[in-house]
Amino acid sequence: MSMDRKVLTIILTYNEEKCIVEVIKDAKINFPEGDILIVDGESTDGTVSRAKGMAVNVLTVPHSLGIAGGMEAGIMFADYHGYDFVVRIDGDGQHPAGEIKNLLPPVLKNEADLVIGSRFKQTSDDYTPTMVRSLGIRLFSQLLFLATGQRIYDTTSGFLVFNKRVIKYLSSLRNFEYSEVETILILNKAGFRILELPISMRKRQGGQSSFTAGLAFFYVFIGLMSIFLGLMRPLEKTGGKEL
Amino acid sequence: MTLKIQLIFIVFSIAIICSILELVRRKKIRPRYSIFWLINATFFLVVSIFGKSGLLELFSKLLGIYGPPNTIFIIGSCLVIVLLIHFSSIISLLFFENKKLILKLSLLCWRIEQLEKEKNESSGIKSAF
Repeated sequence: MSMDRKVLTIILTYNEEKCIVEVIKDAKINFPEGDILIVDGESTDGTVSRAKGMAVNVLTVPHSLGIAGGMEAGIMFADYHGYDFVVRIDGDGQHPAGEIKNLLPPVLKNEADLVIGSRFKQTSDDYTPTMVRSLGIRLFSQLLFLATGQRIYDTTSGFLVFNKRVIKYLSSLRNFEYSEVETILILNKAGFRILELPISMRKRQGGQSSFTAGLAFFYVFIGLMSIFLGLMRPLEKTGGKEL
Repeated sequence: MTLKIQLIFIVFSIAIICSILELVRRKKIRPRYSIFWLINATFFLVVSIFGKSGLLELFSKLLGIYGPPNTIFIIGSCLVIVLLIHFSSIISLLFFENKKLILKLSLLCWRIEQLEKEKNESSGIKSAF
């Protein structure tokens, strides 16, 4: 795929020293068109040193800001350097870089502004969530449908591709706090085109999820609140400054 | 407790819940900070709704309070105190993160000075300052 436009590949990491080298190699081999940016949440292990040893840019964001902080830092970086597209994958190896070429075309052809790589539109062998998680996922999906009119099955997928319009819009918001669900809600209300495409994901390739049971429950609650509030009264379709 | 004051309490707590939800919707309050408000306001609402039952009178007698509505006021005050303590802890956290930022900034400024010095020395240009 020849590219005359700039793509930034954002890889979010926290204590992924076991698999970060493989993830970076995967990205370099299977998606060489993207400039790799590691956004690290102050890892306490060798993640950063191993990443720096692979000659990629590493941005450190305080751990307290979480995934939201990491993603917002990456978006700010993309905006500052004038990137045309952003690809985001997680640093735990669940997102195969080979799938990027399946998600990028709709954005390249300007048929969509945000493409979500979904685990649930087709069954994939390596990823089967538990019963409880499935129910939670279906609940989110249904509520999001009621709030936006759009059917999205994998509402918390971190495998995203989006374009400069989205970069500019998200950078312009004053009170924005990134989360996958929040982003879908906001972009939908602002009139951006969101597309969900099935991809296959791998199991986590090493290390531990930073999501404890309590934290997961908390974020689910916050996510539900956002969706309910989005249902209450539709957010005004804005140009992008005020929410 | 009269029906009048009970209705006032109920309307008051519902008004708080709606205000908080609207503020969150408009992104003036972070959802996570609103949780505490919603828990407290809901608790107050429940207490107001069950104020007519004998429980409130019993509770007032136990605490030595003359009128049941006074008990609800006191409960409300306690909730506000708890909220304020919650905010004190949030502000403290903000202070620590802010301090870290400021210190990092000082280090960054120093590093930039060093880089400028090296750059000027290596290119043979005397610094203008």
